[in-house]
Amino acid sequence: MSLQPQIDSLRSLSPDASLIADAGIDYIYLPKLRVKTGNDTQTVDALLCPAKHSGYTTRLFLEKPIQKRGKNWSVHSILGRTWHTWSWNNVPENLSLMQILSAHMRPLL
Amino acid sequence: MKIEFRITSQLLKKIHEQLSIPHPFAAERVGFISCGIAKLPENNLLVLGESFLSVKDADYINNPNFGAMMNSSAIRKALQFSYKHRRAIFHVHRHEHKGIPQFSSIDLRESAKFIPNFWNVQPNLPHGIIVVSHDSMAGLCWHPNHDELISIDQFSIIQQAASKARWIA
Amino acid sequence: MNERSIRQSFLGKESNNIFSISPIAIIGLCGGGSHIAQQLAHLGFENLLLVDFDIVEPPNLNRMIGSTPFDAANRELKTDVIERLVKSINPNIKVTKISCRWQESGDLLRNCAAIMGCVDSFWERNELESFCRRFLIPYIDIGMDVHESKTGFSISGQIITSLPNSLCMKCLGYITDKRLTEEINNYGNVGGKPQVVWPNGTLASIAVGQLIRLLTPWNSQINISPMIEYDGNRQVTMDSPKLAIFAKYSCAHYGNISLGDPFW
Repeated sequence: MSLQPQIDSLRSLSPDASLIADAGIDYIYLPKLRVKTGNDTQTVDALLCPAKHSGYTTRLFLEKPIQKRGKNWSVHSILGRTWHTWSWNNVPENLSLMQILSAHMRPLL
Repeated sequence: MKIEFRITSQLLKKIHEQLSIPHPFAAERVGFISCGIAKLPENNLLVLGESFLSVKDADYINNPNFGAMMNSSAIRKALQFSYKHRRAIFHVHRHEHKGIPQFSSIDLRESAKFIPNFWNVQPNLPHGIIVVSHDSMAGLCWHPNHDELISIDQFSIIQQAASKARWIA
Repeated sequence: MNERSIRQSFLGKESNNIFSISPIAIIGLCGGGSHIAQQLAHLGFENLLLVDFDIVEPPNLNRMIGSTPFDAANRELKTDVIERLVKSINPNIKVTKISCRWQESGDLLRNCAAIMGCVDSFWERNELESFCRRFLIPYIDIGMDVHESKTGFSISGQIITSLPNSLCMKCLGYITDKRLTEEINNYGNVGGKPQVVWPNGTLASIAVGQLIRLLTPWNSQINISPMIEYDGNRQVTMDSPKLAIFAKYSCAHYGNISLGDPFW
């Protein structure tokens, strides 16, 4: 089933959201995603992997770590670029992309 | 800005094979190399040869004043490829000798007529021309942020353990 | 050819020039990487990128070439120690030290003529290989293991040369989803496994040999084996038996990879 309708719905959060693949893994690229962190909002590029990645059911990567949010930050190279992610597992892949994204952003609030 | 052109020996071999196929009337063949692009440190540029787009037999114009002349269909196909796949495009042809090739005045004049058109479909990407000889190559780049043409400074042929695996132009 | 290189003139008259214009990154500077750095310096490579986020500690001293008890006592950066080592061999070497995780400085690695991977983790290897495929950089990876067996212990290892268009570490069955998941479930804790200097030296030497084969033409009939296995008990190396099975296949994982920076 095409992810395009779901990607289109993500454009309310990131107008240039698009599907991009790396070594057989599909990611949703979310440039300039607005991420709420407490009383602040940060604008960062993000990469959502809506399927199994690095031992996680789904995963969200950001172009920089969010200070004082999330635990066990790690750094990765995906699509030739640096990405940061934190330990937050068991967000199922059978949710909608919007639900997966929201679930991953919860610990950053 | 320094530019490195990087290509695998398999792709280069394929290019030579394709350029060697006789044409019914053209004295030589031409084609396009679709390329990925990346920044290097110190604002330099990496051009990565990815695939070869041959010019079909029917897309040559029979003009005895030129070794090879493409029609608009050939260029349109390359433009479409560049647009669809977000690739930089480098036109390629071959000079039949060994040693470092040099662009002729005709090469430069004719390329200038169509290479900048690739900015109509991919305005943010550099495009250019490559000329190969039987054991070397040279290149020129049209970069969207530079008014002057930029010579390709360095060539790397990956997997070729030969005397010309890597050199600075 | 300068006096220093006379004994390696069989590598070709261009070899000195090739070595001097070819930046090589070494990711991981302990057991394997320190050997590689030392050998590249002796060979005449003059542009090395030394990558390691870690400091020298006492357990490193059994195998990290160039390290001293002073370095461990003072918690010296491994990049500093290896810089010292290579410059003692050739003061003209240009060294770029990346004293953090390589993923944080990937931009600096795009320039490389080859990347030598001497890391502990399968995830690191996976990402390094993916990076190298994207930028058409030959990737040469080494690793060793010590396993307990009925008769005592077994030392094994491998040198994998991952080149564009050729079999990758997943094709060769070295990186598997199972290994990646197990590693993550262990929170990526891969340190503390048994390591000794002589197998590291063997693997590093072969890796350097693979690199030189890629860059210089000393024999036109040599094929570069994608995977060489090391039996440290019998002290032999051989092409991996897996190659006979997989040789006729092309890479199933990076076959259609788009080159370059997709965010350009």
